[in-house]
Amino acid sequence: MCISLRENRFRLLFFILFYIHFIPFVAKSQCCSTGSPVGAAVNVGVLSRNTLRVNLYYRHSYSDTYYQDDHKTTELTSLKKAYYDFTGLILGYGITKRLTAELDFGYFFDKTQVLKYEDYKTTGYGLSNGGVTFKYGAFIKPAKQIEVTVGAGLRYPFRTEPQMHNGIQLNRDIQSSTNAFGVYGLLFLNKGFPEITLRIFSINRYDYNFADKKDYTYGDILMNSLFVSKKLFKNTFAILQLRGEWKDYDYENNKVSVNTKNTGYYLVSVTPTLSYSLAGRWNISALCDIPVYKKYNGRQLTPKYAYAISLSHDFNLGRKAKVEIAK
Amino acid sequence: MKRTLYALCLVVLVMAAACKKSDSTDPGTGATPFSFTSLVAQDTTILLTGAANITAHATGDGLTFTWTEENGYGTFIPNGSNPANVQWTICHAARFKIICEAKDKYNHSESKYVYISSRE
Repeated sequence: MCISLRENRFRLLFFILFYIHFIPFVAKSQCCSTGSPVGAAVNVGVLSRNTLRVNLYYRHSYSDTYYQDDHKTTELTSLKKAYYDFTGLILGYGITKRLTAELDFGYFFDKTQVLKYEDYKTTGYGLSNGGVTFKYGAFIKPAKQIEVTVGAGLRYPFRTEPQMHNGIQLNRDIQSSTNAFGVYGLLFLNKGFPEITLRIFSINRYDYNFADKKDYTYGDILMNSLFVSKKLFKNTFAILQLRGEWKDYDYENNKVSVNTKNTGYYLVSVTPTLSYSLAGRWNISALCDIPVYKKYNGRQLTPKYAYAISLSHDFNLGRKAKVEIAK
Repeated sequence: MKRTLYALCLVVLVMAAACKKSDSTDPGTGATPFSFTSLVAQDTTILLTGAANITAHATGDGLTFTWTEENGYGTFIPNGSNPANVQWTICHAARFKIICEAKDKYNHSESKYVYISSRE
């Protein structure tokens, strides 16, 4: 029972961390956008059979620094700052002990750019893309705390036309959705060292985007992340994440154009996270993203910091069903 | 009973048809004729730190304007008191097609465009 609870707690933690960081709901990167993908959850491991996991998270991101290649620049920059507030919901369900399905949705409360030379700020809001993911536990050894999980998913837009406000079209960078479909694959590796209450795990994800109606394609994204998780006190965990992101150029009519040369980047971030677990079923986490290395194509606004909080709960639907049958 | 029901349905249908809202696309005799005469940019070349001032000249009743850039680039800054006038700014150098659609309350509409170039 103790092992089961502990295992559950770790799985919950992974789940939250995965989504808080790895769902690139808007991987847009124009010269004026916030650039970085911003997701929020982390588990990539599979769920136990008949377990329903509900995860709600909120994320805030702030950007006010332009980069040209790997250095800051203030030349010919048109934005003072940009920020967004986003909330997401993820539902995961363990279909079998090795197969898990997930649905995710997200909503931008505001996605704002403040202009530098005009007294004006422009804001978009609305649903981001939705996602459907299937994950399969290819190699699981609970006794040794080893897990290798692979997954694949589809991202779909809730709208395919750009958003308009009061008769004016919002620019690409503040659209809440990519207005296009995408697919992704992921790989999760985990190794636990229970004797020292430590875990090391890695999440790796590749996103491929399809073109929108205007034949604009957001660049593919590769994210690799290494986590070290250590139990601090009872039910309390500290996690340190080192994440590398690469985003390809965006494409217009299947080529890098004058309009897309300021897209694409390399970004390395460090993310300290604190997580509190209750009875192995509830979990609350807080984290912040701190970029430590940036290399951007052209001239782009880059993320300065982001923070996120997440609440997650597991429901054991299998057990409930058995009780109902027994009654 | 069936006949009564059929008759009742018929009466309801006739009443619904009679109550149909008059066609708002009919301008009538007192309407201002719709005309979208021009779309003018004060400057057709702007610096990246600047903004283009664009005005639509149109006449008609209950005019509304829709402003887009062909591929969704740049930021439109509305003129709160005059929807026929906007400023437009962009963060990279290229040539852009700004499109304005004017529409009156009778659903007459027309689009015009103007090219704006931005440079560093």
